[in-house]
Amino acid sequence: MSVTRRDFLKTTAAATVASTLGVKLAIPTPASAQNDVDKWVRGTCRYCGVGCRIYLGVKNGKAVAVKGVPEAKTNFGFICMKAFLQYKIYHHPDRLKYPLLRKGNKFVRISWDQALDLMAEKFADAIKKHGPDSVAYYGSGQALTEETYLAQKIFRAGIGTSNVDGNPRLCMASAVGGYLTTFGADEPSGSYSDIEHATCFFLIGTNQSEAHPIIFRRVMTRKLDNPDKVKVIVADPRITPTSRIADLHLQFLPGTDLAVMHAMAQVIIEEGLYNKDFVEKYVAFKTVGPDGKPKNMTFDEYKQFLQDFTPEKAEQISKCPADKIRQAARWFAKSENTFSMWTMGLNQRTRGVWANNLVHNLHLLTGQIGKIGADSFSLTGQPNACGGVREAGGLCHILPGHRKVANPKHRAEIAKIWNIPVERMPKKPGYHTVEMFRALGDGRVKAIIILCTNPAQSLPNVGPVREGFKRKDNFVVVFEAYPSRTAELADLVLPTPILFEKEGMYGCSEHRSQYTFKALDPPGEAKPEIWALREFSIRLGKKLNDPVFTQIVDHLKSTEDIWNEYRKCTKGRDMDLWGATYERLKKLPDGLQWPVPTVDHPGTSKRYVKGMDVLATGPEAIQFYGHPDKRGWIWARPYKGPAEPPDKEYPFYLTTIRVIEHWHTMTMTGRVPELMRGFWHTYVEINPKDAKKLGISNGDMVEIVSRRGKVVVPAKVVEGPIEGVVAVPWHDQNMQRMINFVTIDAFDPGSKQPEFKICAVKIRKVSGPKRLKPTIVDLNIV
Amino acid sequence: MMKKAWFAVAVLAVAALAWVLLAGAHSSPPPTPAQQTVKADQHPGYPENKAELEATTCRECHSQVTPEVYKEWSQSKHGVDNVRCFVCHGDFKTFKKTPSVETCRGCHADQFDNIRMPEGKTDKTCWSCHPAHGLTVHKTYKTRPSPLY
Repeated sequence: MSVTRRDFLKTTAAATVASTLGVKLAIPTPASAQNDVDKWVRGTCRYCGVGCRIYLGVKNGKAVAVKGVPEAKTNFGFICMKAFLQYKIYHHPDRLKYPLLRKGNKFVRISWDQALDLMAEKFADAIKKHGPDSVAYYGSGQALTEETYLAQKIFRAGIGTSNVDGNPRLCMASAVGGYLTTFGADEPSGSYSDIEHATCFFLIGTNQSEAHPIIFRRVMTRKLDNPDKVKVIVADPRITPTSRIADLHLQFLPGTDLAVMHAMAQVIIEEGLYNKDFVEKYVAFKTVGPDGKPKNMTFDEYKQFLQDFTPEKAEQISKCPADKIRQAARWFAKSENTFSMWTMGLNQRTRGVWANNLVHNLHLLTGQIGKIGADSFSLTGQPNACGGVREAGGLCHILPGHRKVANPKHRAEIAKIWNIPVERMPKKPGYHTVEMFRALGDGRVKAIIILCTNPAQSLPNVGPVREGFKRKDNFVVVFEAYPSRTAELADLVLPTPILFEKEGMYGCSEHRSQYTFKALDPPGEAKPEIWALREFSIRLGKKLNDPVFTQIVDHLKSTEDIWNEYRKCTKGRDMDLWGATYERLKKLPDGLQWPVPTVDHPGTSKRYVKGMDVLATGPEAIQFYGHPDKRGWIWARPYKGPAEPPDKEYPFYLTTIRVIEHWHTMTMTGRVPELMRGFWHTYVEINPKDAKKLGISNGDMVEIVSRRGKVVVPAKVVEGPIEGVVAVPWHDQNMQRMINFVTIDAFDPGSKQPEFKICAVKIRKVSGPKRLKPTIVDLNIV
Repeated sequence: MMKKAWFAVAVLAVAALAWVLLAGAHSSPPPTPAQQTVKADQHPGYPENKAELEATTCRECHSQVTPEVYKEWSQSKHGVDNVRCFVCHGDFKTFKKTPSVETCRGCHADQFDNIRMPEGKTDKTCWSCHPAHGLTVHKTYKTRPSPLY
């Protein structure tokens, strides 16, 4: 917006008009009646990992309104702007309605019968010629649990490959790795309900005011209602709207947070602020031995290790002032109850698992875990990354019920439930996400199903990924509700319902599984994914002359059928959902938190604590039963910075961020005009000092180049990112503004999660401000 | 070219203001509050300046044009928790200067059901007691301004 326009508006009568007809006048409105809606149908929000419960308002068979569920313990009736306008995503004219087959640059409508037969033929062909590992399934933390479970069963028990992965690999894999190495078991021990008892919040690598707004609402309320009692520490290279409630903001260079967190631990031990009793009873210290296996450490060895990370040394590495590190450490340790939360800032890293370990270290050192109000709580990004993918076997190395592909005992347990010979179960993990799309690109994968996700926009270093799709000798099937950057590269596009047009389960961040009722019919010929996958399996089995394909899916006709079989897989596991029947889930405003081992068990809000967790069967008050020693492990992780730090040629850090208006790649939110009003093109946040040096003014068009690709976006000069860092929201579909052309596909060696958050770029002004148009992909359908 | 366009807008805006303020002066009594509501459900300058307005976010203009309202909202709980302008007021095509109480229902269904319903229980609106744009009654909060907006 130019200065001229601003001045003009200030001085014209327009401004006077706006403020004289002010809302301070009591303008009466007609008496309201709820006749804008015939029925309210309860379910879960389609978007983030908070798991807000909503009622979708339906009138004459159409979604017309949304309101929150006041009794739900996730959101207490509150919803963010995306949820508010969620009803608009159901009836947009761009909804995909028919199966579409690529013919050159266009798509032609075909029947489901033709589509499913073609799918089966292509997959059978690939399997016969190149073996079971030449096909793959790439799923999603936004698919229903029942969809993920069914798909991975078909690929493992039918086809015999573990090339089953999903977009939580890009999002939560490091958090999984952190929980598994520290506690021996995945997912947080506490719940959102800890928030209302916390006295110190440590928010690191999260801009929750925009990415998890309704969790932030609870933290904000806790802080604003108790301004002196509650302390909020925000740790982020970037000052964000989340920092508005911060008492202390730790700013540091991207990827140096390992040093900062080690330094906090150093202070806590140095000043005697650790919980000696807790450490003696419940903690073990570990490092990695020369053989690559965990090796015990003593407390004194750990203390000695931390001497490389005094606050002064950490300040040299990170640029975070030493006195701020000390302050954070003291508040963290001395507070009555400290609750940490983080998301992509710690997970989307080449050392994401280690970053997760280091937050857990602080909680274990200070005993800020295993009590109400305190926890080391990873926020999940997607609505069903936990429930569907992490729990139902949607990653290449895991099986349903928190089991491992590589574990013979686990394979045998699942094979028994599936009633198949255990020899059919693939013995080793398949391709993880980055590798899967490299394999699609170099010909190792010949046929792939992509369900409810958008890898041709969301993968890092997406240029080569997109090229891989274009090979003539591979067959790409995309299940989607809307045209997307991935659907446009597909060979076959299959139209799907959106959440309230089917029924099923989502599991959110606080290990809570929640049911959504069907409220509407999907448009056109869109059919539930579970129907299409079942048909695919049966037809594939016929082409391969293998009756097991029918046997494994025959009885799984409804989501409830699938859920009931899946529940068997969880029986007796740490994530026991045996007591979470559809009957119970349908009656509850907000579902059940596992473990919930029987139908009369109320669910578990605090794991590992005797008396609160039915699985804590031993005598100790706190039992981290994921490990044989029942202790939490503090890991002495070495310091390691990012894979591609800045250098002479590429002197800036690029990080990728989110805005509240949009969800992921905007295929849904980009079709809501009010949300587009807030954001219809991306931009780059630049620190004013950097902008001045480069001669960049607010609004100027800026080119951002990495070793991999480039974008051209307008500058937003703002005291957001620390000097030396630029930040770009990743939602934009426009090919000149899609930031994943620039990002790096280096990944964490443990979790295989890519480092979206850090790479090296050079930037320069290319022109003055330009008026930009929104881009929402469409398909060329004839 | 730009200056000419702005001049045209200025003329239109002044004309609009004059029309609104003087509408009743010659031939009819001043507009009643209901009539004011109907007229006000069009964002000033829309659709005449569609291109200009649609190239701007709400806050870009309103942080300058209605700074007191913007500040009041921004420092409130609704502001800090990102209940942004268009949530209550819509976009240009769906613009509502005064939202309906169904808007508040989205997050406050409990209060809506128990205070508003059944129909006729009250003719008050939510903001009869919770005035815009702080939307609070007694509580005041100390919040820091946003770095970004």
